[in-house]
Amino acid sequence: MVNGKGRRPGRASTLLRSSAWWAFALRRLGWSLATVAGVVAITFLISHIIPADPAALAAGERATHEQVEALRHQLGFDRPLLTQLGDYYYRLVQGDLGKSLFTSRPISADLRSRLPATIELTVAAMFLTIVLGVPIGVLSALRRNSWLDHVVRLVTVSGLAIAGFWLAIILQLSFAMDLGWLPLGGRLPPDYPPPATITGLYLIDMLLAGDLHGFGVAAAHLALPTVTLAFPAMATIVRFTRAGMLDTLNKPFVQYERAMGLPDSIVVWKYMLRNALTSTITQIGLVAGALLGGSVVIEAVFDWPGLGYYAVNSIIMSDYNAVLGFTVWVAIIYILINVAVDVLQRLIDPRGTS
Amino acid sequence: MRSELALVLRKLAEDRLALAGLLIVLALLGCALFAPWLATHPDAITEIDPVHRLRPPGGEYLMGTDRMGADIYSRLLFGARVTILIAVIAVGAAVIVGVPLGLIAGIRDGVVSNVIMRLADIFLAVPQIVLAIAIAQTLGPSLPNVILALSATFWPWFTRLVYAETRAVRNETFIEATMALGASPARVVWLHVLPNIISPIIVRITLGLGFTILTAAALGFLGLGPPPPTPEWGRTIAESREYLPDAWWYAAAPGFAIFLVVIGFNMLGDGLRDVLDPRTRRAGRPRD
Repeated sequence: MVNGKGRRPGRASTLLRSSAWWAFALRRLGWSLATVAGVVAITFLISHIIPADPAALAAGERATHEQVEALRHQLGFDRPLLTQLGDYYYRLVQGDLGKSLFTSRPISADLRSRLPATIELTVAAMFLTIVLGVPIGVLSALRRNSWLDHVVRLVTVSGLAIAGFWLAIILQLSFAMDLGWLPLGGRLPPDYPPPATITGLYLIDMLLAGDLHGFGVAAAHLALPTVTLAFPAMATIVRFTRAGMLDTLNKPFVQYERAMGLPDSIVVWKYMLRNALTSTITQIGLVAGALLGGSVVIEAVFDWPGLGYYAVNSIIMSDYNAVLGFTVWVAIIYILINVAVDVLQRLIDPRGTS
Repeated sequence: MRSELALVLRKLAEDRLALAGLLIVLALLGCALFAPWLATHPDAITEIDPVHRLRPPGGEYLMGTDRMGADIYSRLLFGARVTILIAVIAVGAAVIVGVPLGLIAGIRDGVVSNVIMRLADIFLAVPQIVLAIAIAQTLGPSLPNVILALSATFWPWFTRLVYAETRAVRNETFIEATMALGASPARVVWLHVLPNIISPIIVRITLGLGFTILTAAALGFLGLGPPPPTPEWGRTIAESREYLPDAWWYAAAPGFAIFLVVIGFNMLGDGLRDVLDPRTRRAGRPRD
């Protein structure tokens, strides 16, 4: 294929398809940038039009009128709204989200230092969701209307109805306070030295440092928040996998493979599951959103020092800039995940490509 | 129309889960309506009674008392009013804004349609709870502000649903025929499109009520809900954390109430979907 004989037609069409795929990916990314800009504009406008006075809040209750006005000028809140928004964009492009009204620390640095904790928690929850959710969904579909199916359906219906923060508290009550098996919160005990930062994910850093005991301690701290966060997401994945499998059960190709004498295990776990998972994969983007949103409240309950914990503290302090910065970050993360899911989906199943 | 309703109800009654859901929802309505009569201590829900604080369930106090000495059972009943108020107004406002926008975007082409749908995309680009937190935080904690934050983040769900349904119906022959006869777009939408897409909207409203109750409770838990002494369920759970593990009933009762109510709306919504909208399966429900 190198010596000038030209490409075979099959290869050319693959190339063509991949260039169409690239165009799709780029277009999708372009739209996402516009969407991020839109999210910033909307949250920014809402937080600046609304009556509450950020300058007065930042100045404190005892500040005189003159002090508040001076601070307002210093923070730039006295300029026209669109100028402020333009300025916010200008700094956002450089990765600058402004300073916390409360601690005066740069918000992007604060968020960056808390990102690994949130990544560790959400990735662990996503892992648990998929590793448990998909097989449970498959079994539930195969044994439709058995007692197993009924139990699974009851649990998934509960998963979508339970308040995450309440589940968190109930788990704390039983496994931490009552039984004392697992820690109440945090990433590590206060007296335990955190591992040297390599990835920022304690589980991995502990392994890299060769500290197996530390790994166990970190895992024990991760357990309850992960289960809490994963429970509703798992319910969604089980439902979609189950529905996808039920749709596939009577497809001709399944009957054909069965008739060919392929063992049941291969038909189910290889061919049917691959088919059923297309709808489940689309759900992963949505599940990621649910995990990101859910982590806000759950991090607060478990004192898990991630983005959500930071956001909740900023809410308590009425720290406008910090909440806005957090919202922008979550929007960017969530949009990127969705772009990735869409683009991968297109790669796996190019039927939608025009 | 009447016989249609009877048919829906009869089919619904055959689905045991949906029926259970309906009963739970009716019970919630009953609790909210008759709270002053069902409550054992109707006057004491906002009063301070330190002598009787943190009593365990049983005897005079069915579900125990809270840190102020108020009867938790009575507070739950009055909390049902707050919950229903928030959910119904927030979802109602989201419907009033979201459905017409979806209809307009669905029936029109070009700029108007694009602007509406891109705007909806922007709102859907952030997890609902995060955007609701951002809005509620700037507005300050109060009942109207929670409702505003919830409806401001929920309308795009209706817009997207109605848009997709309208697009599907728009190409049907009977719509083309009506248009060809010279009916105005408004008439077509009102008399011909809307009645044909009302089923998925009703299903989405039912499920949305449960979903909104969960989000509202989370906002309350974070301190962004109506301020005390409103007996809001989410805030009650937040208050209880200081007194755990001893006063377990303090946290258990309101959380279970939320769970029960949301499960009621979800089961009713799933059942309604099976009856009204047989195209989609029970399990194929996106993100609720």
